[in-house]
Amino acid sequence: MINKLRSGIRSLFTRSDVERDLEDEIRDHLDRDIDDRVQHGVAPREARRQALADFGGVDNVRERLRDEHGISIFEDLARDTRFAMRRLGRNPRYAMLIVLTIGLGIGAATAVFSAVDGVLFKPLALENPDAIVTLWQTKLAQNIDRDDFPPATWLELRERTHSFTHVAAANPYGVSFSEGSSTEHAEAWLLSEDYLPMLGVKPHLGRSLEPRDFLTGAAPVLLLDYGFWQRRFGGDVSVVGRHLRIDETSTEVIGVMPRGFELPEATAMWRPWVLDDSQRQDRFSSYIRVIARLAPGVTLAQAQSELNGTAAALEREQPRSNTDVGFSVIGLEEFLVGARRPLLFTLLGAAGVLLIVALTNVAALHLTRLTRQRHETALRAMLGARGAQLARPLVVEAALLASFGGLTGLSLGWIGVRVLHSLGPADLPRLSDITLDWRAGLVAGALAVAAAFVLALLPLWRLANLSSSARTIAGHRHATRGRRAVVGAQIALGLVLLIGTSLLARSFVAVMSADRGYRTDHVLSFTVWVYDEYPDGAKRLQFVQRVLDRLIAAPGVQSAAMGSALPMADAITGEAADVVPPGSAGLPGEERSVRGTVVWPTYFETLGMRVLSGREFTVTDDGRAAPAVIINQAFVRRYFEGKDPVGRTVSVGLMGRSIERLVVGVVGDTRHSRLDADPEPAVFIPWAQQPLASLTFIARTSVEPGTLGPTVSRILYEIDPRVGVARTASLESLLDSRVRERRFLLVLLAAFSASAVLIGAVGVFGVMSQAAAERGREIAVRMALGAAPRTILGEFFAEAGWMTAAGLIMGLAVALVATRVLTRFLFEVAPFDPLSVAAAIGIVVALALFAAFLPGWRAAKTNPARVLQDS
Amino acid sequence: MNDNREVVQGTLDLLVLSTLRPGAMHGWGISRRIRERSGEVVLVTTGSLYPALHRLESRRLIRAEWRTSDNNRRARFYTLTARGERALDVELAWWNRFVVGVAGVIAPA
Repeated sequence: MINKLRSGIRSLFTRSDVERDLEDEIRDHLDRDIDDRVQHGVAPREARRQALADFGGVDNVRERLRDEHGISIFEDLARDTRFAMRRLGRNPRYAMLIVLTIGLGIGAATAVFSAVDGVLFKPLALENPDAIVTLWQTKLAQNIDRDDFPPATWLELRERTHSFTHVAAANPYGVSFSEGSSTEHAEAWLLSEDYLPMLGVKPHLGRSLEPRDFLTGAAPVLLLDYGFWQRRFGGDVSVVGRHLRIDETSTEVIGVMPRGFELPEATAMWRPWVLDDSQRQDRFSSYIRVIARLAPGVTLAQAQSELNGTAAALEREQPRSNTDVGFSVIGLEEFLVGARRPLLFTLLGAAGVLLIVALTNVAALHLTRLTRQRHETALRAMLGARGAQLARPLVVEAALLASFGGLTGLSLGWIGVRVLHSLGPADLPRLSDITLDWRAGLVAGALAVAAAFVLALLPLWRLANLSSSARTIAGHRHATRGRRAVVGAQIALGLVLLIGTSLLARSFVAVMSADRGYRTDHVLSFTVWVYDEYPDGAKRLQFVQRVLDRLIAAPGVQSAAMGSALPMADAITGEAADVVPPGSAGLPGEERSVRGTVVWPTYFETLGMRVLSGREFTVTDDGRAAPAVIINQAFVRRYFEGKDPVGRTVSVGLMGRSIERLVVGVVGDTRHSRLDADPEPAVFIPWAQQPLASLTFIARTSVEPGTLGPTVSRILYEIDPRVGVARTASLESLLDSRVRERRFLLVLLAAFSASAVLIGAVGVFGVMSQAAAERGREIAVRMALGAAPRTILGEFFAEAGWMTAAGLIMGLAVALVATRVLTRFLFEVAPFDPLSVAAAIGIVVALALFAAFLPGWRAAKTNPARVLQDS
Repeated sequence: MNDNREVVQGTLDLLVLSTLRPGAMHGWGISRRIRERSGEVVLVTTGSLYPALHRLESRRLIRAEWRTSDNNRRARFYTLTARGERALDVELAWWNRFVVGVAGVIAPA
């Protein structure tokens, strides 16, 4: 009996984990009280009644205890969360859709933000980086705005200017680095003594360069680049203190520079630069990279005006070297990332559009669902739920969806950052620095909160209108119109992204298929520098001949050649040639600069360049023969204007005095450093007539060119272990690195626009499904009265058609303006290329109609009898 | 039982703490002990007793633990902590001054 009572009392309580203690205690109290009363002779039923009465209301006590423990808020939250989870669980597809849509938007935005933040906004890891500037020589008459300095000019600047606390210099000095039985070339820079102290950079490991390292006769030392250290030494800390063979000299590794330190540019190592007298007096060889720190309070403009004065003074004092030479100052940050700003901001804009599409779609889906839940909400309101009680689960639901969406977004962002790493242009500064850090997390969090607001405010707004408009037909129409407008806007934005993507895709195809004037498949190239190893021309010639012989003898090699530069290779290997146009008096200042290359006779054939008239070079075009030159079509267009140039002379100077040369042939144009620029005029000179020491070998192969790398290393090591091999690469991979930025933008924009258009299609699908659900009865009645399914389907297409058409018109208007930002990335495609626009419209229309077809088809197949029976 | 009164505001803590001075006790026992020792004059309703117990516990003046009591039933036992003993002394001193003060006010002059 008593047990029964106990269980009855126990059933008064709902046992929840949180409250178990309290409940147990109250129950214990009641049990004791009842026992006590029963022992005093009260009937059990009456004892229970009295006990409960004396207790003063179990609920009341429980409430007060809960208040005492402050658990009620969490309890409510837990209950609301369970409720919301249950509601979402009932419709998992909806929940997934919302979470994925939010996730896509946030993921794209977070990843792109990380890139923009890492490259543009994070301060450089230098001491007071805003005051660090780069200095350049300008030769505006020759259209050169960023030239390096001759050492003597650098020293003059350091002496004469007062705008800077330091003017430091770096000297590019590639080295051969021997290890085991191969010698490779490594990029290296010699730094002036104040270079690192001026920047305020401390090494990651070991010590920095110190004054004693700059004394004449000091033991040779070097600092390793972080990336090179990781790649070549596996990040082994014991490398500090070891001696490496650098240019045949045992050199001690004294430290490793911090990750991301890439000044003057990405390199493998840094060494102290001790100037000799000939360098101090060199006013002509421009190869020094100069960097300076502005004195406190000095602005860029002030520094520039002082430099202008210095340039004018030097022009008067040193007319031979400094006529028409100016100096310019550019902030370091601007120099490093300025050119990348359009790319990054374009991406940021595209990610922003995707985010807007995602959020508006979430809003549209949510509104659709709320309309369906009108009945439930109304019912709960009738059962006495107060405003807050009605609103709270909706808010909690919104928060849940947004948090899951945010988490999905962070994961997608993490993946996105990996994609950025693998696709990003290799020369994008600080690419390796891009990480999904706490700042990106903050952005994702803020966006999730924004999503939560969208999700929460919509239903609250609906709730406020619940009693009035939502139940009336007018109110319903209003809501439907709102949804259609939202879907139309999505289609518009999706179209904008899609048009951008197809413009870039067309440009990409155009760039890749543009006639480059040489073959890129099955060609391997590598570079060696033999200034010191073979100082005189005859020995150099023997060396080249031996390398070529061994290359041709190697299995898989069909032909081999050599030149001072390669199409697409880095600027260092390309040389500017001074040209005195035929018929000109050769006045100072009238010199023109063209691209000059010295080549081995087999150069054109190996690269597959066409000889249009005249002849190629032969082995007889050597130092004893008359100076010869081969020019390209662009050169003919610029200087010969329709006359046949073969047999005429032109004065060409490449790294030295100009001499008259006989034009022996004309070759087709080639696209060099920029694949998407017009071909530049170029001249080719027989190597034997000007045996430069920078040798780029080319081998045409019958096998995959990349597989011949080890063979090349071995051949060179066997011929001369002192010579380091650099830049072993197939032409395909060089081409690939040239189009990396373009492909990077294309792939990301394609991903964004695909997401946006898919989201838009989901929006159309949602609205049409909703319409199908709402019109179920009406359709059933009409079909019962004889309407054909075709008519019903037609109506759905018409409605989707109107939404799409409105979206397309809006989208085209926006695209007309928005595609202008892409102009700089376009190649042989107009900013509003009709084919690209048509393709984008086609995709959008097809997707929208497909999204409308599914619910329309279902509606048209309704069995009228069943629908009418149900209702 | 008509002339019993709700506990005077502010004295509940004092009553609970002093009831626990002899040893650990559960909630029902505390309310019964207060009723008996006051000669059924002071009644502590459960609605104020348990919140007070939990409040004192959160102030760490008393400690609670589940123990098996007589006839094998589990109950939540409350024990005075050292901090609680000190608080009780302070409360008692205050109460004595209070009683003297009130007596002074209401005594016929």
